[in-house]
Amino acid sequence: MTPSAGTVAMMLADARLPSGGHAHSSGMEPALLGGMPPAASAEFLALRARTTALVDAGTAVAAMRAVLDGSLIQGSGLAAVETAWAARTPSLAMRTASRDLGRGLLRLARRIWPTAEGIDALGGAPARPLVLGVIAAEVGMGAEDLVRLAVYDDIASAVAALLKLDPRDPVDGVTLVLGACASVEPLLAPVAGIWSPDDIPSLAAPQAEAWAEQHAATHRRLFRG
Amino acid sequence: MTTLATTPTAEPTRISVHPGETRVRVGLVTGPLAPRLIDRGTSSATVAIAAAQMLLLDGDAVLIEIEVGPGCTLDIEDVGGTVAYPGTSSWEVRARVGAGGRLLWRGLPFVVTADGDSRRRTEIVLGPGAAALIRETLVLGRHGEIGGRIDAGLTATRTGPLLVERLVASGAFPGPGVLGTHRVIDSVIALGYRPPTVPGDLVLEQPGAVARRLGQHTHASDLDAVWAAWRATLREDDGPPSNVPSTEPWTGDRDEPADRASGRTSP
Repeated sequence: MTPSAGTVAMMLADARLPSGGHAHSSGMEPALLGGMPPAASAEFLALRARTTALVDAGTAVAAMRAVLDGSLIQGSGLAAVETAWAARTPSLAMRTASRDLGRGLLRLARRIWPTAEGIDALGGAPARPLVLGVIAAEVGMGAEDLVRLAVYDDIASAVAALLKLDPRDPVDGVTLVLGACASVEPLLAPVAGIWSPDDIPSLAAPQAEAWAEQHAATHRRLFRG
Repeated sequence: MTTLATTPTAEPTRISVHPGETRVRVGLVTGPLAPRLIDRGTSSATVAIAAAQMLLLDGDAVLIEIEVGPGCTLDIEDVGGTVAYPGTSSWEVRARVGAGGRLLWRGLPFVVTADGDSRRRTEIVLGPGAAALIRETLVLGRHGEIGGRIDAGLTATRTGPLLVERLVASGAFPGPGVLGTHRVIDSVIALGYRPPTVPGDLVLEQPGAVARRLGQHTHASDLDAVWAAWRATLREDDGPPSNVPSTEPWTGDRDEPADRASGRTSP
């Protein structure tokens, strides 16, 4: 029995998925510890969605296409995608957080799709969007769905952390997630159309990168990134 | 995303350095910017660049092409900062550094005025063993102004990509996570080698690092010291210390850079 791509997408976006996502805050805890007022969360999330989250979403699409394009399957294709992602992720703290998430998701993926094309080329701790791309290629997920999944998961993780760090009505959190995701909807089609790693978006969030580096050096944290 | 319909207003400004018999050969072509040779040696050259005309006015598109030959070092000194006046303008740098070459460009502040909308593109292609060190200070709004919009992209490659980033920011819009409420983003960017970093610096996956400060005023940044340290690391494998004077006769007031439109040009 093969699960549908739609079911897999929902599963991957589900916070109950045992892949370690609960330990991460998508930059929210670094931002709050860095001094961002919680009232700025909606703006922060909208900017996170169009910067870091779209870099990751584009990386996932490029990884999926590297797997689907048979000529790239020998690892070099995915390695080029990871190099492109790393060049767009200058913060070591952010790269480490993504690879921590990638390791957890890969452990799960290897159990469920042990023979997925490209899965053996991922190494031990690939960036999370590479694992998403390999899974998407295996289950036949559409590129736009993959982009929405990557953005939604990132934003939802940030808001889940916000509810813990700055408790509020959980419905407000839902509003924040939907608002941030909707704000990038017009940008998603071009990202879904990416084939070359060179075309992965590269919009930067320098303040968030600085917060991530500070956060990695502190002991007063609940989340890993 | 806005597409600028601007076309280059003048010929590209070109700076090239290539190996010569006793001293490097330096090629300089004046465009909107006027490069001037300050010094040259057996393998290195120092070039100062100043505006040759009013810059950057509405519709201006400046293109600077830099070529550093194999094993050569090019040191570029800005004579004054740049102001992007109201309207749209673009500033594009394309640099190629041959095998083992070095490019150092200590840029002075690039200030986008409140009603300015400026597009910057920096493309650096490094050959095997080549490295670059860039100072880039972007300022949104002149002193006391709120505003200014910038779309600044940098792409650096050495075989594969080293650093690819694009900053889109507006001085009128506080962007938490992007610039926050700051109007200055000051960076020292090392590419192709590993400079002596400290916690808080961005250590790239490929050889390279970025020291970056966000702030309200350029003079509050401590990156001059970082520049000096990272420059020393880059040059220490080039043999004995260069006899190029390390004085910086062109350094202006870093907070309010000399205004290129005021006609301040090299003699």
